[in-house]
Amino acid sequence: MSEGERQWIAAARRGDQNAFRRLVELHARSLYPVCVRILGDPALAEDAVQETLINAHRALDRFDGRSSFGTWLHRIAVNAALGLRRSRHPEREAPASDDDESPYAVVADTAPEPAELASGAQLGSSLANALDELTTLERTAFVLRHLEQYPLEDIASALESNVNACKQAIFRAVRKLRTALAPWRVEA
Amino acid sequence: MNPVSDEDLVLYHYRDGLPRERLAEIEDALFRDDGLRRRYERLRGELNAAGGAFAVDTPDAGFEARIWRGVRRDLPREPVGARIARWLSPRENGRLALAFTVLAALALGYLLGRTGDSPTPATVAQAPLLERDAGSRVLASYLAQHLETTERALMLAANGDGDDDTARELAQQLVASNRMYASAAQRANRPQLAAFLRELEPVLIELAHDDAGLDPAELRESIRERDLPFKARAAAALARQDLAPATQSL
Repeated sequence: MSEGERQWIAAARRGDQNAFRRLVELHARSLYPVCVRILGDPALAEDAVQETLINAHRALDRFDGRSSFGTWLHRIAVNAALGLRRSRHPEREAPASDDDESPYAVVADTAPEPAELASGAQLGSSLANALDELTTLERTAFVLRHLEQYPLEDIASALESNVNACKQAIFRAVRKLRTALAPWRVEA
Repeated sequence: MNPVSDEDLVLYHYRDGLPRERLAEIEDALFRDDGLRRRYERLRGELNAAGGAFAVDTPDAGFEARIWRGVRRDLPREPVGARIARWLSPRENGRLALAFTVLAALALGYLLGRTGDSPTPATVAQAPLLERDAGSRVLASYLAQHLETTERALMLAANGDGDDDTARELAQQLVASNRMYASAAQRANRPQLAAFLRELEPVLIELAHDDAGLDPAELRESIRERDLPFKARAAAALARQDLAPATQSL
């Protein structure tokens, strides 16, 4: 954390809006990807970034400097995006069971034609469908582990869950995504 | 050793959620077992492909400005103490110094007006703006800067290219000093310049407050129709000329 950033934080705590604006300008862009990935919607992701920064302003006194300000904001962003996703997609809350239908059953119905396979045209939509199939827990756990490099302990904390439940959510997410990719699998 | 499941391979891939001994076992098995190594390579490839499905487009250039507009609406009103602290901060010292200089120059102009030799009307008409002393030259320089910044704020507002926040911030800085410059111009017998600065005042006030009366599109149109950015540039150029020993009037 730079000296300038430290000073802006101190000034923002005293109510200096210009200082907080500097912090917004410095960090807003880096918060956007995780919000898009959790929400799957760029417009909603902007709302989540905005909400993150409003929440951060309210909680500035609780920032203790043990992590960087960016890391602290990132965690608030995960919570904001998660909250928004839960409110927009309550139907995706139910955790999928490991005993659900065979992961390959979906593939049987949607398997692409050879020409489509050759062009790879259907790969994107197949993955997009698979992403839509993920519950909020599965999607967020996978995003945080695979793309944001959160340790499982931190994912459990962010999701207010436990490490084992997060592991299972990641396994289910990986299985669903691999299923979507199965038609394109080239056996070695 | 227990067989290595796909779940084990996922956790091994992230080096997370497995005891160190199990990680070592899997590492060893991957070294010895071609089939397991192929399974792991396939998993890695598929995880990478799945990760690609989460690719994110970079937000456009107006992203931060939009976010700030939304955030600012929800922030509590800035306390007076914070505003004073901001004025006293090193970054703002320049603005504070400018205000003091303007006030000092106005006071000096006032004293000279009262105690100095009264110039004839013809002399005043020909005199460069406030060229009677060094303080006045400083004032002319600040006036030129003020007009150039005004031009920039007006241009931003007139273009409506999404950078409304910058225009607003500039206007907020300009409003307070604009009236002082108008008084100074009047005292320096530059009625046209004074009138132009007075014409600017309501526009700057509109620009400075996003909750002011005029619709942004109307304000933009009004700025364009009255050609205010050009007038501000012309006035700034004349003020700069006044710094040189030449005679010119607005």
